Amino acid sequence: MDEPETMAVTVRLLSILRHRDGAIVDQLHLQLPLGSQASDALRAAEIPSQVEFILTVNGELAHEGVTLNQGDQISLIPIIAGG
Amino acid sequence: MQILRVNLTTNAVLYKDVPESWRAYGGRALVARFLLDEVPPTCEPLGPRNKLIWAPGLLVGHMLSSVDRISVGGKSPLTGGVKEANAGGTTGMKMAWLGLHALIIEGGPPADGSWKILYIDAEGARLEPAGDLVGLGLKETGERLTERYGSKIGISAIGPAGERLYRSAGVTHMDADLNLTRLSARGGLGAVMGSKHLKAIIFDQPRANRPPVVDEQRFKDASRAYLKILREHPQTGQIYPTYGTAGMVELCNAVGALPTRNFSAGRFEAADRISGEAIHDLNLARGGQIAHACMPGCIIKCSNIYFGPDGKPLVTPLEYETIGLMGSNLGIDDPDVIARMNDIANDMGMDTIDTGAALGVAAEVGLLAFGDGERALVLMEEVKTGTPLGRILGNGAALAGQVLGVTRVPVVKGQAISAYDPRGTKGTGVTYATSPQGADHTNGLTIRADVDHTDPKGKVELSRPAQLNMGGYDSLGVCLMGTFAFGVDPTLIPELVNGRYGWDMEPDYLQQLGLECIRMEREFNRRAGFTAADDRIPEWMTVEPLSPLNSVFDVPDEELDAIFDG
Repeated sequence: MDEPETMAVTVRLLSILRHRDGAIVDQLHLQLPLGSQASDALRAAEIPSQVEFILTVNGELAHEGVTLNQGDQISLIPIIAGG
Repeated sequence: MQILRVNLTTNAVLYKDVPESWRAYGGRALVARFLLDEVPPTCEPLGPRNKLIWAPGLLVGHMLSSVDRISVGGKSPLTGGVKEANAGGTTGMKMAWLGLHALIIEGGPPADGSWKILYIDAEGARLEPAGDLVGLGLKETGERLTERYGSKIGISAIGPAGERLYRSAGVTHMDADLNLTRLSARGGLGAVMGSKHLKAIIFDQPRANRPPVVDEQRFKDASRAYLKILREHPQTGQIYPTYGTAGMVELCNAVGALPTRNFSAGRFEAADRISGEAIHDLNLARGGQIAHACMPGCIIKCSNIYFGPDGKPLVTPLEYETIGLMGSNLGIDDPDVIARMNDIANDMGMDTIDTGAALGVAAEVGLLAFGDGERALVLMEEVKTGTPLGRILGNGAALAGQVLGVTRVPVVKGQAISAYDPRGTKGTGVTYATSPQGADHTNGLTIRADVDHTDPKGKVELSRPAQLNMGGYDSLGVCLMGTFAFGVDPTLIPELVNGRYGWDMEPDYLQQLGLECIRMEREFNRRAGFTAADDRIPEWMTVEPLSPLNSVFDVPDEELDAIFDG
């Protein structure tokens, strides 16, 4: 049986990244090629470049160059400076 | 501009020109200068020798977005040192329109033990009996004062917490919608006001009366450029208006610094239930309001009016610090419970940070099970009614720890740590340790920096400029939310100041003002008996690792001690 060529990852959108085309979208479910990085997921999710955010993979801080695995959940959390 | 001085012992009311040595200072820096000049550093904070000052920032009075804050100051009964607590609302703007550079409250209480209201309008100032207002919560206090004096006034007032001299009592200011909910929260200045038997101050100036601007064009150009940044940047133009400061919950949780169960962990498993996103959705579904401004002219509008399950207003504002200290810090994941606790604290006129931290300390000895929201509300009711336990909790985390025999107490200089665990964001930890104000995120928050927040290296260098900037901003009347735009274009602050006053300040004006401010504050603390030993994070946080980062606070003491050298 052939190995699957793609994997499923979830992108969790927070704060203003949830607002897409007039609706609120909390999660995107993506199929990405095996070996994809977080940056590939961001491109596929069409994340606007002007929003600064931190990125976690499965709850741990990560960077855009991290290689993803099947079933990973990425969270994109826009940065704010005060509270 | 003038200084108004009111003595609660003698009833004397005196207007004087601003002394030459005070003219370069407003807000926080003026508080520090005033304390050094007029308040004995070793005085009893709740005695007649302590004084209170209301000082608008140097740029206040122009309805420039997020630049109308009021600083209240005095010697803190919580820390025993310098205290400046700034807030939004309309007090700063009304004072500037009344031509007041500062208001100083002296002496007190009146010999007959009576309580007073100070009424100020363009004709002068007078003390009036507070009478039936004594003992009232701030909601009813605000309603009766606007009935009596009209709806176009500004108000600063204390609630029962200040009357009872709780060390977590603040001074509350009215917002643009007549809610008496904008708190100069930290350090117990409401207790100082209570010690003088001053229930409220009315600032009656309905007509816009902007302070003079020497170079209108220069001021206008800088204002326009500032507003453009505020409008266009996602943070100030979209995130804050939509999610408010509660947008910080997910961020701080991801970083691993969200106070959880009395600072025993930095991630809360139910953070998504109390997040900015969750509160936004719930509030809007109930008909609540987002994008609420606390100051007239503010375009950031980070405040909200949170509605309860009955579709009626429950509290305004519901903010990050309250969510952190009364939510995750207590293991509570129900926004309605947090809002109800917040509402009690608002009506009492007390700091939700120190109160939430005190409840966390109480949980250490079983007075509250983490996650038990109903029990937390019962304890808040005790704070409200003033039972012995309620009074202990109302006096803040430090005192609660002493009375209850708890050493895991999250305080610096006696003041509770805000909703960023210093082991998970060590730059902010340096700020907590070394700020003359005690633990306070608004004195230099570093969570935005793109660094490893658990690495102790470089954190003094990260905190120092943040602290200097905030010392400057707090002296100008700039809200923490607006500082972001000024950071984008650092020329704007000198331009505004030079336009307003005709000065010729250099590009590093903001940092120089901040440094001067902090040095004055440190000098007051030194005279009050503070030493380097007071500039420390609680010892238990240096040995108890924060879960799940496994991080202790380990910035070396010698680095902390040298932070303001040079």
